[in-house]
Amino acid sequence: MTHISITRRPLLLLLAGALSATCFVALPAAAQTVNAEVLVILAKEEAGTIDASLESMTALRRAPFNAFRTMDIVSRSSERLRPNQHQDVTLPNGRVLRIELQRVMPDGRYRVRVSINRPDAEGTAYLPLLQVVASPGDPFFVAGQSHDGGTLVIGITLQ
Amino acid sequence: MTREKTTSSDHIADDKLQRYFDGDLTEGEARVVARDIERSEMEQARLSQLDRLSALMADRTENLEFDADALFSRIKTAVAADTSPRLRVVGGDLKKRRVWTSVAVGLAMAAAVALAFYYAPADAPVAIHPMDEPREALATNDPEVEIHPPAGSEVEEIDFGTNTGTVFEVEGAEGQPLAVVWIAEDTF
Repeated sequence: MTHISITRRPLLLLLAGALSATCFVALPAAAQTVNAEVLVILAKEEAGTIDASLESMTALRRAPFNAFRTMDIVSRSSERLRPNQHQDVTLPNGRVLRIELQRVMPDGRYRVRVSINRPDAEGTAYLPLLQVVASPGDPFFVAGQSHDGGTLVIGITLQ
Repeated sequence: MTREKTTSSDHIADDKLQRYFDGDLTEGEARVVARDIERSEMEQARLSQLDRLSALMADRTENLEFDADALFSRIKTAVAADTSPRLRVVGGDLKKRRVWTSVAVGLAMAAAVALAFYYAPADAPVAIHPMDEPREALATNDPEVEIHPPAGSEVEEIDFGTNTGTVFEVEGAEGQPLAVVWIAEDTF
């Protein structure tokens, strides 16, 4: 059993409190991992069905997404991100979406960089750079790629 | 403005009757008025009323103490006793006295308040609210800090490369702004 003298206890409590207060900043970068859910949706204007799992994404029912009357989930993947490390997600059109966690902001939001290459045209990326700051659980969307008679809508949510 | 009637069949104007009683008419006017009074019981009653009022005034002026309220009360009583339809008690004097009294009292109070503020001593005690006193408050030093980040997502930087595109926001379930990047497929 470790005995702590009375004179040291306040100092230890003070040190523990300081560490708790800086919990959003002081953790080493290697210890910070963020989950990123990448949702790829094929949206079409023709009449059809909306995937039931998309009911919770209110943003997809607002303009301009509400112009699409058919929405099918093509792929759903979860990637673990660490600062300054990227993860690649292959899209149905053969392009690769790269997502990289830049940093965890002091206020808890995530700064990420996203790019989409163009394999059929070297040196010209489809989306060279997109830098976004997002709150945990709030997605951002990249849309506009044509595929299979519809439009790809990519939703990225960080947790 | 009182119109003076010139015919003997008409009532004598109040002003003219008063001037007759006071002896302020010319000889000719006085003769005409006297004739009208002689021919009319009502005019005689009016004249006698004037006489009584004059007597009351003469009686009171002999006294050293002048009781205005008592005098007016007596005049009211005398007028009320008179059956002449031309005479009636008008209570305006009392109302005016009350109004002027109220105004005077109000002005006096306002003046007193103004003087009190103007001449207030420099060292007069100032009302102190109990909460004005500085106090030490003990607060718990809670080391746990909750930080709530701004909701939503936003684009900080974008490079469309050879494509064209647009950046806009859509509203999330809680009304938070969610960033949308829409890229056109055309390559220029």
